[in-house]
Amino acid sequence: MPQQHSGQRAKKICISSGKGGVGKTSFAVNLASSLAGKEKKVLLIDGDLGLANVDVLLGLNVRHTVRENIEEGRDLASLLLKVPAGFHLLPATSGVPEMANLSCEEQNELIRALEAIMDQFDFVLVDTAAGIGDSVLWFNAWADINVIIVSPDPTSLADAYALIKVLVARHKKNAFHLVVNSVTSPQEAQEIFDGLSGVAAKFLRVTSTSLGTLPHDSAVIQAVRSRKPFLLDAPQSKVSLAITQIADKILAL
Amino acid sequence: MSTTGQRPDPARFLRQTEQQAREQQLEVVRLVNSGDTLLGLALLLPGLSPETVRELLTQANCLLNLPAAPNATANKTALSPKSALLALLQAEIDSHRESKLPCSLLLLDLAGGQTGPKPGHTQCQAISVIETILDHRDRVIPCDREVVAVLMADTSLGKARRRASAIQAALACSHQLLCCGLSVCHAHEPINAQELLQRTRRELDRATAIGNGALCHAALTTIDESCQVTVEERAQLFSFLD
Repeated sequence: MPQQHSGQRAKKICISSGKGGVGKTSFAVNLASSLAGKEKKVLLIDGDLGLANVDVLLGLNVRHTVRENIEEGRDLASLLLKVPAGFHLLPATSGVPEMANLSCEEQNELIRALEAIMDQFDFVLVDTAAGIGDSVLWFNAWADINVIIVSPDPTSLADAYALIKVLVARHKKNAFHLVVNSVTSPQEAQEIFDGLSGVAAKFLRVTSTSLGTLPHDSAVIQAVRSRKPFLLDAPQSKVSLAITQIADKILAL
Repeated sequence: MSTTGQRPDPARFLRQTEQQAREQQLEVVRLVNSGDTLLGLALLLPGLSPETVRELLTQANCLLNLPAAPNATANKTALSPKSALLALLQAEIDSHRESKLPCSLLLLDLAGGQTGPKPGHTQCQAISVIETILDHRDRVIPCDREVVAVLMADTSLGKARRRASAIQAALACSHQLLCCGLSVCHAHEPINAQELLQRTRRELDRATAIGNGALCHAALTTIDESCQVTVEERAQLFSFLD
């Protein structure tokens, strides 16, 4: 377990995108690394409970997962893994459909167990599954800050908007933080942010804030292959500098 | 204490038992026949699930040669104020949260908002009629003296309305349809049994005020449609790409 932190309750940040392959996990892993590098106590929850891959991007071989808490009642704190990047990880399973479809009771139990360890951290990040499945919605409902990752791909835009719409209608969320990933220019990033936030404001009456943009960078692909955060693998890359700026914005929230 | 060998009065014995059970804070279910004669009591320990209660009551009814269909159980046993209905409703809501499917509650006022004797169906008769047209997972339960509740599993608004219309037609008396209140409970709605019952009751009151076989339903049921991304939203979303 981490040592004592600043004493305040952890901020819960949920990272989603709607569409898969937009860069959620990479963003979550590197944001956790960046915040940890700023002396913050960070827990990253692999919220893709049945098809987890945070451990893959971190080069870990995980033996114990959140499944042991849900199915066997094992203490959640004992399942946390301190990773070399400096934060704690709550790993999930891969290839377990039951974990992707938890019952209400199991969801509530998990949330209760997570709440019990909140005071050990400054930030709790959740890297959710793709789509608008149950776990995506209840993790987002639970979070204080909802981060939506979007890429220039029109299907990514469409899915991000659909996710925002569901969260507004079903969970009364009314503020979102957008991250535009894999852009080739600041102008492209601005257009995408303006487009998505404008439609969300017009039709859903929600506020969207830009948390920043991540440039298209070969360092990302290289880091994924190395199974390391790009922040550690290529700390001077453009994308690493961008994630650091986003971490600074989050610290200021 | 007298032990003269006289046969005890069963009604008195049941009344005394009922009183003692209530003093011990046990829930008491009175088992009565269609003529309202008290035939027995079921004393329920705290903490039993609604399913277990239903099963036990069905068995008790069988022992007493009462109609044993689960749908009829609550009716024949005159459960204390709405507790059976609320327990069943809550169990159904919980079950639908698991299945992610909606369920619906229909309330029918057999008296049409009037008091005093009226032509038409008694509550027992109405329940028997309704049972013949329900899906096997649906339940019909008495609510108030003149109100019957129908709990319909896995029903969206359209399906529930069709079934409600069929019930209205089956219970029509001299071509006069009964007024109904309907409420659909979606799995994601944070609502409990009491709230669902109140919501449906308001719809029934609205329908009764309109009269003429009106069927009113709660407006919350449009949530599902509202989540769908519209053509206009999509068009606007992609407009800057052109």
